[in-house]
Amino acid sequence: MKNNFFQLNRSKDQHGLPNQRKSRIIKMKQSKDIFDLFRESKHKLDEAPNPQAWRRLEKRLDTRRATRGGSLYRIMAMAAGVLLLIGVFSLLPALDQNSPQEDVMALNHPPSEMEDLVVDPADSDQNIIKVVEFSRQYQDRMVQPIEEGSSAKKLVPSNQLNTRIQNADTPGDTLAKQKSEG
Amino acid sequence: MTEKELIAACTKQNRKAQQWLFDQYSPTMNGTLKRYLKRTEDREDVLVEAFFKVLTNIEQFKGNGSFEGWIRRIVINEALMFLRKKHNFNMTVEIDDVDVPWRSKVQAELEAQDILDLLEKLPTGYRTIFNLYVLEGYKHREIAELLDISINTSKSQLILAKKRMQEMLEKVNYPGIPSKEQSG
Repeated sequence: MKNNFFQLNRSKDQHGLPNQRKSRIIKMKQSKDIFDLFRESKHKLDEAPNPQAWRRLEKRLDTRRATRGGSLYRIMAMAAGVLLLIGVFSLLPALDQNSPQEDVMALNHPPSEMEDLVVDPADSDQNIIKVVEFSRQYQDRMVQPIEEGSSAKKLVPSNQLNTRIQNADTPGDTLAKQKSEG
Repeated sequence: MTEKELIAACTKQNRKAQQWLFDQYSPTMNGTLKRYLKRTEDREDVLVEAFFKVLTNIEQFKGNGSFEGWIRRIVINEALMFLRKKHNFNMTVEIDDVDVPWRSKVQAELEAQDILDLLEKLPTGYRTIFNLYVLEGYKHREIAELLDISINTSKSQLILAKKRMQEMLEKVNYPGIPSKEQSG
């Protein structure tokens, strides 16, 4: 319909038209829908944007490329780190069997409550018994620290204590006096 | 370079192909944006953002339909997102005073500046719906989804936009418009 209209319009222009027919054509043209008016003319607005638009776009594309490259590197670095950790943890049990690592840890972090050591009489190793005895005495001393006595009292090593008690009959022996007083 | 070759080169992030694509399609898209956004700075922002999306998602174009149509949709969506940040399309604002600056020369067709002058005189809601329905060919259902309005709002705003446009054209005795009696 539109094409016919324009063909008709053109042919009449070429050959000349009586006034009556001319006015009919103008009337047809006037009755064109407002929507068609805009549709036919919309491409007249086409115009290249400012050249800086491409430069801005190019900059954004460059940034994205750099970011994507960077993120790939980060992902690879993280993956390598995870693999390294897995490797270390898988080797730990093997190292554990050959090194006294647990004992070292135990010394660094002693338990809050000390467990009483029990000496097994069947144990023939006398050195161990001595160590246990010593640690027990040491513990007792820590629990009951030495009392501050009077100036008249005298401190002696405990291994000499029995000898001193046996000699308690000797007059003037200070230790014997102290014992008898106690 | 065919369209297919251009798309393939852009998928590989070939910078020359990307620039060629931008040079090829940006004038049309810039013209489209002129009908939606008045400010040149806003148009440039939207154009750059839209073409960034086009070039970084070009592998999503599967060749169904026109490539230009695919780009146009992205550009229009971007323009609508921009407008929605600033305008509530459920609110219709009527303008009373229609004083269109018009050139004295009467023409049978609308010139570029005439289109812009007329569209700029419409409120944002009318203008957007007029553009989407009349010039882009969207259905009212699609417009309602795009602008988050009801279908009836879209329809009523289009009728008001057309009425307003007609009044403006009549006021300047534009010859290509039927009188009220003729248009019914």
